[in-house]
Amino acid sequence: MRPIGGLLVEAILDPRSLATLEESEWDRLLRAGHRAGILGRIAAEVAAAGLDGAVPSRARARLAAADAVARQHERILRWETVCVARALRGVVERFVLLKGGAYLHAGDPSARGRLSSDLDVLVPRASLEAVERALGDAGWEATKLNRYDQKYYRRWMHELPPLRHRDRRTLLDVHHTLLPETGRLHPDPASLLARAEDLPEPEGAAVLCTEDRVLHAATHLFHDGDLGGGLRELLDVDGLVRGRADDHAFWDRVLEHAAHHELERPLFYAVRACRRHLDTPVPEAALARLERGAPRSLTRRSMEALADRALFPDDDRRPGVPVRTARWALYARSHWLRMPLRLLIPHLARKAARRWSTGEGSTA
Amino acid sequence: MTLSDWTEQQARAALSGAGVPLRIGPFVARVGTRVRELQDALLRLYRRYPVDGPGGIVDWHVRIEAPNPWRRFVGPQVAAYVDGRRRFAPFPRDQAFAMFEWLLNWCTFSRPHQYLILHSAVVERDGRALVLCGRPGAGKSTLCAALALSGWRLFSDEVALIRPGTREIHAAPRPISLKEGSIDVLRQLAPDHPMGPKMAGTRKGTVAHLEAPADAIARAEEPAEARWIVFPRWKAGASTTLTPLGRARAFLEAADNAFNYSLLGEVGFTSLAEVVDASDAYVLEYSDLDDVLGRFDRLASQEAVAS
Repeated sequence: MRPIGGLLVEAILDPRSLATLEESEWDRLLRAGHRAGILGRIAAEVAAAGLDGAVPSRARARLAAADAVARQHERILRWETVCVARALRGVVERFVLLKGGAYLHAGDPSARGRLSSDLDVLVPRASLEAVERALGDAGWEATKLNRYDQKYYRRWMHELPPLRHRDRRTLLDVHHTLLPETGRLHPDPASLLARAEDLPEPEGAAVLCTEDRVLHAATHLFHDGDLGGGLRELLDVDGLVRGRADDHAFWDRVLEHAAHHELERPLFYAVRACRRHLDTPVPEAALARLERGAPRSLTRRSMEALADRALFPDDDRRPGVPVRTARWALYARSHWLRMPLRLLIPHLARKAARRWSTGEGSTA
Repeated sequence: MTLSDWTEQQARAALSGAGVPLRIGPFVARVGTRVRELQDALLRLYRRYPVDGPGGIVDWHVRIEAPNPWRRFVGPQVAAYVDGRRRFAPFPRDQAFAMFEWLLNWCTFSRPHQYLILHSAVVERDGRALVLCGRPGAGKSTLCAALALSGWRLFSDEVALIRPGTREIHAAPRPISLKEGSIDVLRQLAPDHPMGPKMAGTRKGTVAHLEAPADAIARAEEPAEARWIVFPRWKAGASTTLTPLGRARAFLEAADNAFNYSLLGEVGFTSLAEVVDASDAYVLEYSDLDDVLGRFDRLASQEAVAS
């Protein structure tokens, strides 16, 4: 039985291979693709390759369902961007779309069939208060209303507590930098904003330049969580660089920006993982320079082993001990990355106490 | 091959093990449980359902099990698992079949977005579909059950699956759920028709399920064209009145009844418009079930005469 990771990767990078898939493989692919959040992407690739006729009818129905959801999410992202633009007109000169919103408006391959409707934006820190007020006036409400969570986000993290629109119930994350202030790496938000590219519309909307989009995708996957974004986010990185294998100037800029923003390490991990799992073409010279961001050999090998286990969704069997251990280790790492121990320990203690007493969890 | 073609031992072993892939209209649900009473109910109410071959595409993996060892004995509970993930709060063990039916409903309401999905009962006659739209408690399940046992083919007591861009409604027949008083009403109407366990104390009070008629299950892969959209309202003492409803109003009410109208966006709008345009819509007020059945018979034969 082929490993599920291979099936998923091939479905997206070589959709013609799907024409020869057996029904039992389709069965696993559909379920795992759903778990990994990439079924919409698979549907889009199948349609683009003109393969609808070669797909079993029950699989076609499942892909059609995923496609319907992806289209809805795209509509939501577009409309939310318009609404944010209206709310922030005159409040900030521009706001920068991140992640899904950026891929959509920049026309990146990762936007195809994307199943995500939360909007992420980056604004200058100095404007944060005005932005929050303007968004509040336009109907966005704070979630996580308790004082501790509010403090956690505002003082230590790199974003406002998530906002939810009171009528549309959509989520909006407002960032002022890419990584928590309490973390060890400090990207330069001013430079990100300065190099951002304005969109023709809506007015005020911009996206990070392609080089910085690559860095953000790499950083978000490898340095801002527990690799929960998984294969989907790895494909985001791949989508941004795949067509640029011969563009040495582009890669020079990516590496230069990485050095400037202290993001060489997550870039290293992301590109290595792309090479290992997706065969992403990267110029040799760039790979060599990337080694400058490499960690010590033991760290590097552990991280790669953990990533290899955590990047892919489970197949139908309950994940074994190695995968569960890897996930736990990455979860622990994600906390360690966000805050120094002196802040982390009381924070985790508090979280645990709250969960124990109220039976509710928090995503903070 | 249907579930009844297996021996009881084979069936129970399969349910306890990897599960049994049952074909329910356009869907395949791999169903598994080690809870004995639930196995009893499944063997009874799903015996006529086709079993899909091994190695096929399964839409939903559904399991119901005790969540942990001591919950098999102390305050017995059962938990639901969909595609390997635990979902929803546990049910008392003696409501396991209600939980199972509820779980399959949830799968049908929330996933197959290749359809426009209305929260309606659907029955068919002569290739034409009658859609019964209404809020829970409006009496559509009772009406649906009565129709299904009186010459109409059951499509579903919960969902109208509309193929976008067409007038086609697809069937996914399952046991018809009845509440409280309806149980007795249907018992009187069809005393010999198989019924599942009567379960008290559920969120909807006492519930029981009527087996889907054999004909409905056998012909589950035959769609029909939408023809009548009826909004039923049971009212004590009311005489049967079928009042025509304008298409615009019918559209809005039907959209209100849909699970994924917004999700489908423009496709949802045009699909529903196609179906409403092709149908006659009515508001039905009634109190006498027999009378309503007669009224619908006349509706169907008018149609036969007209065509």
